[in-house]
Amino acid sequence: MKLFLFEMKKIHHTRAFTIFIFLTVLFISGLYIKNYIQQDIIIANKVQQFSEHRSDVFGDIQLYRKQKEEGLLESETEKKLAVASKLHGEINELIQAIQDKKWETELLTEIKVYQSAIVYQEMKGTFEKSKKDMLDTISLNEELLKKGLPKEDMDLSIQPPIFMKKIVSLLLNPFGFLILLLILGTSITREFEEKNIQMVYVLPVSRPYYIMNKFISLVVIGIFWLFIVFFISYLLPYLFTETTENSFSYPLMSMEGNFITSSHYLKEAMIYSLFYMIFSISILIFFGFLIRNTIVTYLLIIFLHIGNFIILTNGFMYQVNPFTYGMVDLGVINDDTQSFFGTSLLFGASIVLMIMSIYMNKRRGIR
Amino acid sequence: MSILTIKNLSKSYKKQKILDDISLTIDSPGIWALVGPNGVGKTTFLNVLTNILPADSGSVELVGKPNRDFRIFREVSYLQDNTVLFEYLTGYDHLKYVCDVNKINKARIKEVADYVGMTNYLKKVVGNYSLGMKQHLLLAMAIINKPKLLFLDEPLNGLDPSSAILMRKILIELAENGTTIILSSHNLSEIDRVTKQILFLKDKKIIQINTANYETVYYYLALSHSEKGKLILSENGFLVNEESGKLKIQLKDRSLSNVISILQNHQINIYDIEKEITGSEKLYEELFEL
Repeated sequence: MKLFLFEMKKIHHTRAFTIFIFLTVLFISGLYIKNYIQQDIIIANKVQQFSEHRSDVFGDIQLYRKQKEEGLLESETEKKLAVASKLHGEINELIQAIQDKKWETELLTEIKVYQSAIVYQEMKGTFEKSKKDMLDTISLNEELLKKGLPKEDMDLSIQPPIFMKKIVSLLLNPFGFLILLLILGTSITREFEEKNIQMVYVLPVSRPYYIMNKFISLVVIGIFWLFIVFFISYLLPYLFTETTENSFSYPLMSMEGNFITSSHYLKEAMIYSLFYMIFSISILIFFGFLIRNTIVTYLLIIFLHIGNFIILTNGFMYQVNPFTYGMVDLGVINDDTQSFFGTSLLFGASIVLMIMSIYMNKRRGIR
Repeated sequence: MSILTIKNLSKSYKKQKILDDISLTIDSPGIWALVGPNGVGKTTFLNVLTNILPADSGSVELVGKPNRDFRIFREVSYLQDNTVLFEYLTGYDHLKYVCDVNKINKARIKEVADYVGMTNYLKKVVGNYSLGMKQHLLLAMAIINKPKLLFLDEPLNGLDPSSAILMRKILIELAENGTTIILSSHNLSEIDRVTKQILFLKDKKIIQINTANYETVYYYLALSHSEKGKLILSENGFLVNEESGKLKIQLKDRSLSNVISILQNHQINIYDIEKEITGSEKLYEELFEL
């Protein structure tokens, strides 16, 4: 315990971590303030989106009417005109509901709009939204109506669970974890470069014990950072937002097409981020004690994380690749049922890396 | 049980042999000085003994246990170069850490800090320490666990005269209380003051010599009448030279009290007497062909 406290003291004195925590809080607060200020934009964005649809549909209506006047209207086109006119009316209703902030009417009308739009698209009418998106939105709206929750803007929402999800997607990803590692990494490599490690080597502390102590102290620091991320992103909306009742039941659609509640999402996100953080730190310990040079260790870790990020964002998400779970948001949304496999993989990989670190350093000198 | 047993120890670095088949046994308390030119491998030798660097071949036992056993450091200490200190921590933090790993009561920190004379700056950050202050801290860290075997790498570096005297006093006291001390140093006159057991590191080997046979004792006398004193002592058969305003006198078979008596009989007052012992310097010159 005392050695652990000594490690914590060393990390604290480097100040880099304190600054990192401060910047994390600043980032989350800044995003919350920005979202708070931009709440009116949500309505404006929705209105604009459906106004564009309305314009497209109206353009078609005008064309069909002109064809009708010129006697060129066929029966098929007559049907299209009818559907387009209905769609246009529904869009008008929807825009009105949005502007009047009647969320239940908005959800119901949006369902009608997209149902009509799907039919219209099948008739080769102009409606710039994919069928899949419209079907997903219909499902979401039906789910929201069941739960009695208004729809939230996933980017600008200041409701606690949605804002927390946004923070998870922005901070708990390969880049966020990479920054954490770069901040913590010097606590290992600098001790070799500045020869502080020699002091430890002539004390009655076994090297495996020292490495484990270092690992545990870094994990605790990492847990503290995760706690700050989740806590601040919850606290700000809790304090300053008029929260919707039952907001943690807000449905989120997974890649499988089914819904998970936002509370379930956040629970999974906490678990994934914790285990991925432990895995990341075990990588740091492994390379830090192996290479013992700050620049080379950092370059290697950056290469690993960015390389995997590129692979993942190009769709190569493999369950057996532990780095997959670094994209916490995607990892939960992709398949909420594989958390046991994912966390087991991460935990197993961490153990293997730690065993290798201890084995390689057991008899090795400072050079 | 031997305090230090080295058998056929060899070590190379970047394909260059530094230590070649060294064997040595020390089985009693006392002070041994490790001497050699710059770059000959003194620090490497100490690092290999303490397993900071692994040996290529051979074995080392400290206080009866292999040097790979980390538990030996409950009874073995090593005063290293001051770069091992954490610049952003205080002296107290360092000593507390050593106490914690050795499971020593914290009360010992103040005791040792007072003993080495660092109480005034104990709670200051090491980054603000002078070289001498860092050496005091390193010494405190090395003796806090009352070691049976103590290695010191250039312990007198950066010490002012009063600190050097204190260091010498501490080492002699430790040796008298049963600690075996091996110190590397360039300061031959200081070595002569603490020990006659020299380990010369030459041509990758250790040559163990007792310099008692090479000793010469000089006294420096500050007198009320230097010229008259010089004449009188010369007439009485003493070898006398003048150095820095004092008389340097070499005693062979005669005693200092004899000198004092002669001077007092001629009404010459003695203001100061300083003693200097040389032995290792002469031996060093012969060994390293200077």
